[in-house]
Amino acid sequence: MSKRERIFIIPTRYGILYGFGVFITLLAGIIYSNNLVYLLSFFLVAVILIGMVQTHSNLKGLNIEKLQMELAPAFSQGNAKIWIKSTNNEGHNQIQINTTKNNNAGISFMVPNLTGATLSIERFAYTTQGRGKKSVEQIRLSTTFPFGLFYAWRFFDIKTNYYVYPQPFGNFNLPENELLGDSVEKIIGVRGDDFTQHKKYSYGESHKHIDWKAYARGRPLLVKEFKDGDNRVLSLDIQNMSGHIEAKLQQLVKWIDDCETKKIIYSLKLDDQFIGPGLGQIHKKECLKSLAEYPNYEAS
Amino acid sequence: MKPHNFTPSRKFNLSLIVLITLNLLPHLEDHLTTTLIIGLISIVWRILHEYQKVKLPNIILKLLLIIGSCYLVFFQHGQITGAEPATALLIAGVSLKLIDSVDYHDAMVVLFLNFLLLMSRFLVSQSLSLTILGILNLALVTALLLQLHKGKEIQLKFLPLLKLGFKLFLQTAPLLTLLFFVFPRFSTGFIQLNNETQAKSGFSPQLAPGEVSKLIASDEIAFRVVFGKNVPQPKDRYWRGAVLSFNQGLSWEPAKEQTQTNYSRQFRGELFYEQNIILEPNYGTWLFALETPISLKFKDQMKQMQSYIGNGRVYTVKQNNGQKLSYKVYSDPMPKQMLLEKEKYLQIKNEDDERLKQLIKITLQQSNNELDIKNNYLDFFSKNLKYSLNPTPVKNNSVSEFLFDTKIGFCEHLASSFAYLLRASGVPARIVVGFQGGEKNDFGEHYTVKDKDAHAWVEMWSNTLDRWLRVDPTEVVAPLRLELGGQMYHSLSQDELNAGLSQDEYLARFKSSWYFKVIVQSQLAFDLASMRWNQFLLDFDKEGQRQFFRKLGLENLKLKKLGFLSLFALIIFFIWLNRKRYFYRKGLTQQKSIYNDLCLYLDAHLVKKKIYFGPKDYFQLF
Repeated sequence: MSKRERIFIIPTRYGILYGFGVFITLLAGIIYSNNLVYLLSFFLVAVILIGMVQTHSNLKGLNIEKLQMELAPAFSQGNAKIWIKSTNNEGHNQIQINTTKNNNAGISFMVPNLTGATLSIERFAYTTQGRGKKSVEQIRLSTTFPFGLFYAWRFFDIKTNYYVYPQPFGNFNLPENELLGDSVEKIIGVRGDDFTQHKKYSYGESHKHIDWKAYARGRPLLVKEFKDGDNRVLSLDIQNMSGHIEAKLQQLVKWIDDCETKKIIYSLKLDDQFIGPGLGQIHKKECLKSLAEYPNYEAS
Repeated sequence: MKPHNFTPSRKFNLSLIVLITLNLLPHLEDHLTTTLIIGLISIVWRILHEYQKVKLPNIILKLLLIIGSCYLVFFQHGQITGAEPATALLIAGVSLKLIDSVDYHDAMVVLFLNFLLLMSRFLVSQSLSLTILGILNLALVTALLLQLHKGKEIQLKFLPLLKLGFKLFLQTAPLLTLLFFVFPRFSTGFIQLNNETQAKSGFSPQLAPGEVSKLIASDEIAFRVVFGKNVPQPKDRYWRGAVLSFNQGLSWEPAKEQTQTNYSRQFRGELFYEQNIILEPNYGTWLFALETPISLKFKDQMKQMQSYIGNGRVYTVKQNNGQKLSYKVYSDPMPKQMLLEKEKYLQIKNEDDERLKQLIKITLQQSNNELDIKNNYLDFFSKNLKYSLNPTPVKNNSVSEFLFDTKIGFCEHLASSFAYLLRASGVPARIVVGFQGGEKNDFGEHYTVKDKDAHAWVEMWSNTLDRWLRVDPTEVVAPLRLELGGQMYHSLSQDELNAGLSQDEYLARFKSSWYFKVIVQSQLAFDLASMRWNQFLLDFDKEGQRQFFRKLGLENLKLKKLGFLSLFALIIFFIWLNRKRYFYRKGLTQQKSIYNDLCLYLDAHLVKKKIYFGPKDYFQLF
């Protein structure tokens, strides 16, 4: 058994209290030569042994296959998933999962129960501290199940990186004067994503865009008209901003969020790094990751 | 290190209440007031809190409750230290903990205190019913401990909880059995539990009118006895407890006397009765035995050293520490005796009554010897006196008033006045208090003597026979009492007794009653089990353990070896708990490695196995 597979076990403070009670009971049995009290104390001893074995086997046969931690803002909570594989047929109860060593990754959650001999995915929330690219080196699994008399724990080495981006905060509005490209909304007819209005059907137009439902209601043949969203591109550049670096980063995150809600295409420029115009979750994640990794000049 | 901040659910709390109620029940016997007042307040409050959202007491009220219960305990026991008040305080503490807010910490503490509460009861009583209650209790505590750590999501209802508890309890059974036999027993009779309960029931060491009839009302078992070869006739089963030789009119007290230590010795005799007796606690310090005990032996050497022989050949134990006592007595019905201290047996408190003087005078005139005197008085008794459970009270403890005015009495009145008359006539006499009779348990070998068999009779010195002679005036006044036995006689009503049926008719009537069919029969069956269990628990002391191993063919098991064996038992139990790990693992891994090899092969050649595929999902792909 390698050092990493080792399960450590010590009595809890309740375990010590219980042990003291067992001692008193046994002593009473001896002093008063009372066989029933002897039996009681033997039962209590048996409970200790059963508890010890069960606590130990509650952690036995567990393996952490994977840990995935999603992007999360600083000083807040992020979602995470953990893949726990059990080779133990009995199943597991009340397993506490914690991080060790680096304190800024706040993984601390309780798995109420795990089915034995399967792979289960547990979702949980972790708390974050400051921004940056962080990593989890090792996690600790611990339990006091079934009687709370013993505390067992073991470690798993699982190197996982995760990113904490700055909290979205800022007083400035979107710098709409920085918009590049066509600022005039243009009607692009039947193409486009957003429905705007109805138009009278004229011969030769595609049948596909006729609003048949409106026709069924007794209205004349109408064609639905669409327009594309803003075709403008917002260029966010850290060098165009003034103030404290962290404040600037927080403002950028706020703007990215605003762009996403307003569906404005944006690009991000951080010193020599440029993330090209785009919109949507993948683009946003890329931007936030780079914001998370942005070096803190003033600290260094 | 605290695993979680688990607040127990309502289901858990209600189970906890059930557990504590169960645990308090047996304590009602010795700590009625404390348990009833504090226990009831706490339980009702807690239930109201669970269902009606009544607030739990605040800190000031809590403090008041604590001080109040301390005062109550002090008021009840006159002190705050000692075994009895400690138990009362424990009861109060556990009860009050219920109306403290119950979080994880509180729940753990209450569960642990329950073990101690159970132990404090075991120290006082080791009956079968308490054992059963104890098992129920332990199963529940263990199941609740498990529930507490299973988390909020998985909370069981009461019955599944109990089932789980019993499953856990059965798991401990192998260790319990092993340790019970091999754990070294010590002889520690020298440490005594100062128990004030002993004087509460049973006999008080004096005979005043009404003392014995108090006992008749109770249905408790006094002792159980297994006879050797010879079994005396029901009429001759007089169990002597105390000899009272100091007269104070109608009431009697034991005389001050010198006792001698009862050294264990061998007994050889022709006709004797061997009795193995298990005496229930709370019967004072007297060791009951058939007349006349010659030799009394405890298995435990320490107890032997603490037992004494008093005047009139009664055995006492120095201090009865509220435990059952198991001993063996040999009784010789025709012993060789001498009369010492004759004056002591002639002392009376003089009564100035003409009728009394007249009676004594006439009787003495008519008699040649002490046997004639006895017969004449018995004659007088059978003609003039009546036996009743509820006699007319006698004022001033006066013998003459009883004999000539009230005339209705219980065995104690009859014996008192009879011994008085004998002494007044110059015949040395004394009162013996004890039991008469005993019912055989139809299911087993043993006889049960109950409080209902309590009795008092007279012993007089006969110069002609040169020994003490038993005289029982009740025999002539109420012959049915002896024919039917106390247990049956005292469960009949006064009307039935007045009907004047014969012994067989009463017997038939008694046996056909539903009381006999249902209650007596089940009592007998439970009594047998109880007796066996008691015998087993009491006999397995240091000596019993040695005999047990001798039977197994293991001589000379010293303390060290037994300690080693106990350790060995623990290790065996530990291995047994890990049996799956040590014994079945190989088979499983073999199957598993074959499966893994197969998966690897299929993985490489046919279909990629995803990490979340179980065997079934995987093979459905083919």
